[in-house]
Amino acid sequence: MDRLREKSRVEGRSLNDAAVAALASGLGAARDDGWRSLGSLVSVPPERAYDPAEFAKLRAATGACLSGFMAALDWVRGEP
Amino acid sequence: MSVTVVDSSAILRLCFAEGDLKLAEQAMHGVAAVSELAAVELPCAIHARCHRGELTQVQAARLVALAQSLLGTTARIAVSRAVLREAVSVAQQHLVRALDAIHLGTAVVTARQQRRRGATIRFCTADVRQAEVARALFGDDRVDFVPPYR
Repeated sequence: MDRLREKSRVEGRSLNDAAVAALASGLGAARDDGWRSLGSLVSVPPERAYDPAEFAKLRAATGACLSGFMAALDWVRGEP
Repeated sequence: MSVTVVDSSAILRLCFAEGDLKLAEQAMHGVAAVSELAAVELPCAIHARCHRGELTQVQAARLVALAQSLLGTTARIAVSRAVLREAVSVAQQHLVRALDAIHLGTAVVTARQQRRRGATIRFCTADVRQAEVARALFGDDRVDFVPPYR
């Protein structure tokens, strides 16, 4: 319940809305928070909602050094 | 809820939790739209570090999966002819790199489409030069710049 309250506060949405989004996310459905308004521009729709806590767990599980990637992106984009 | 077009740089920062991520997190809690190009740029950046011997192949594979997991929470925008046309138009007006221009062209096309619906977009990036061009295109108040972490 505390996590739900925190999620509600961070996302600036009501507790009920946060609860519905959490349930939908748990069921594997992406929230329809408006991406459909992008219509035919979308080539690949979102598969699920962004969950920072779940993502942090995935990140920690990689066991890799997670710094210095911005320089790698600059290189990809053409910087020496 | 307005759409935020998110550049690969902001996705990368969020993916690897580098620096102040408040603005990138905000974008992801709303409607986050990302150019399909990110699905190439992010793995390329990760594999580049593997080729340089900074990551093992196993680590690189895990990190690519992590990046793909994050991209899976966004709406991917096609690199269409309209996007490419706008990218060239952006490059005509501003000094930008080709891939930066494609992300900005994606945002211009998305902004036009949203305007027809009476809505506006935001643009989120961690690239300082791209942010300057985005401010010129969309206005200061429509650009979320994820600040440098060093």
